[in-house]
Amino acid sequence: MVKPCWKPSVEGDGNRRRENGSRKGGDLIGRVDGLLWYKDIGNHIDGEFSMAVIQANSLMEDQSQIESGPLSSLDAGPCGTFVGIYDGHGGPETSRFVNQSLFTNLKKFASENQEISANVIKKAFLATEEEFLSLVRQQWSVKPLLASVGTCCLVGLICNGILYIANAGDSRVVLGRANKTVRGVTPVQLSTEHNANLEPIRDELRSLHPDDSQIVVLKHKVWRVKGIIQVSRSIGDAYLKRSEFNREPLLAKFRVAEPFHKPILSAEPSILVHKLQAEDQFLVFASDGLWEHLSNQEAVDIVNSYPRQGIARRLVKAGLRVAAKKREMRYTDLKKIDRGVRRHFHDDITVVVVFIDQCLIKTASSRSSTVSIRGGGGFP
Amino acid sequence: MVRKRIRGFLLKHRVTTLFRRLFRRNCSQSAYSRLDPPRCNRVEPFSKLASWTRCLRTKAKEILSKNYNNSCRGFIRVGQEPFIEKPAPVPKGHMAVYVGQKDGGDFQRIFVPVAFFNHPLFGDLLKESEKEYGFNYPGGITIPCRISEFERIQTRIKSGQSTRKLR
Repeated sequence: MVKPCWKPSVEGDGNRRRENGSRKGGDLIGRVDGLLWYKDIGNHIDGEFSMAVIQANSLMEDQSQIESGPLSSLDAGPCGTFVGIYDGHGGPETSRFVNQSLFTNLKKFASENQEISANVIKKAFLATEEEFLSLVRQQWSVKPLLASVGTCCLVGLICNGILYIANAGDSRVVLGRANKTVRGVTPVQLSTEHNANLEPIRDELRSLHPDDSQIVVLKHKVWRVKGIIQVSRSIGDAYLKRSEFNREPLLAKFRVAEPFHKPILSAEPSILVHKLQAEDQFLVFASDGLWEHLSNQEAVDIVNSYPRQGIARRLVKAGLRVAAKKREMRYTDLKKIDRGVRRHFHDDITVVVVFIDQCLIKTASSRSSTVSIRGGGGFP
Repeated sequence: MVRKRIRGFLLKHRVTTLFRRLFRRNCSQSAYSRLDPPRCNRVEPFSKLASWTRCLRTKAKEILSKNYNNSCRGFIRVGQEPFIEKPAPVPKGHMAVYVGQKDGGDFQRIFVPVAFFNHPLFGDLLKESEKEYGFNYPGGITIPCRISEFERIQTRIKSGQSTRKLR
């Protein structure tokens, strides 16, 4: 019954692989073109997806994954699709760690609770945070710098026609919803960024830290938590969570001047639960690197007006074109700039577009295949 | 660039021939009453037209020499012009950077070959930029550096020196 929906794209995928005669592992693990990594199209159990990543930092700080299939270790447990976007800061360690352990933790809690729920996702976030903080503690004497590394964390989960969005940090997911009246697609932003540049976030921080008048500081026209960091929630950033890491041997430039008793940042995600409707067509997940160059409307318009194949790559390109224009150069010239130096032009950008094909959702019991792909395969 | 140069020549020739023709007509005093005849008769039309032509010729030369500079020196200096109104288009393979010091008045808009950006000497300049402005600021790449210093570094990169004896 599911086959008609599956077949064409599966075949297409196979043909492409043969045509291009790609490197080891074929299209299954994506392709690399300079600083760009992409997986033009693939199948998850509720439809298709497209993924692309561009590196700007000398060490890739963005990490991402898509997992589709069983969401627990139980045979009769929940099935679905999991998307994770992890935009690291201060280094790549935390985002890599989360890329390895968050989904495992989610499966563990889903097995314990025998279901997917907002609570299960929250538990997975907090457990991953705990694991990372214990890693920091363990490495404290040899690698104190690990205490200054953190990551934003955006997760989307589709299971039995329900969409869960959990976010800690400033990545964003936008839903493309068909609009019959204008014959187009309307963007619906499903996440709110935890960024001190947004007033509600500053208000939230001030109410959480009423004794600290310096909890948010405007510096160089940018609002920062304690004048240090723009995001108010993250995994990692141990020196802003526990006083025990806000001291030597961590270098003074990575520390908060005054001691604190309450965590400054939090790892608790904001969670949205949404029942998917027939009009809900696709989800665009991306790190803030994309959204600083493209608006929600521009992004959904691109997805709506071009073929699915390679759509994530197209979005990345559209973002880079804007970035090049802002820096008064051509897109073709931007491509010549090495990683590291690239950071002056744009941030690491990760885009995952997940198409929601209703015919598949209704028969979501199909456990045909398991997909597990990590963005940016072999990037340093 | 090449196309522009050709265009410049064409324009110049066209203008010159046009004016010559006009002058000839004026001289022969044909029935061109519509072309401001009283003035033609009173003022020496030849000298006036000739000076216009000369003016056009020098202007054309100026434009050409800019292009010439650009291809040879790797950048054009247009800092003196108020770029806010109409910034010169960035030539292919180049990008506009803004060089200057915060307290030292205006920033100059300079075209730099994109290849320079991957050079370690230029990397040092970019590090200064990062320290001063971070990564996320609007507009072109801004480099906090004296123009003379910047030009010296450019010359060095061009000559292929990579010895790190800066400042």
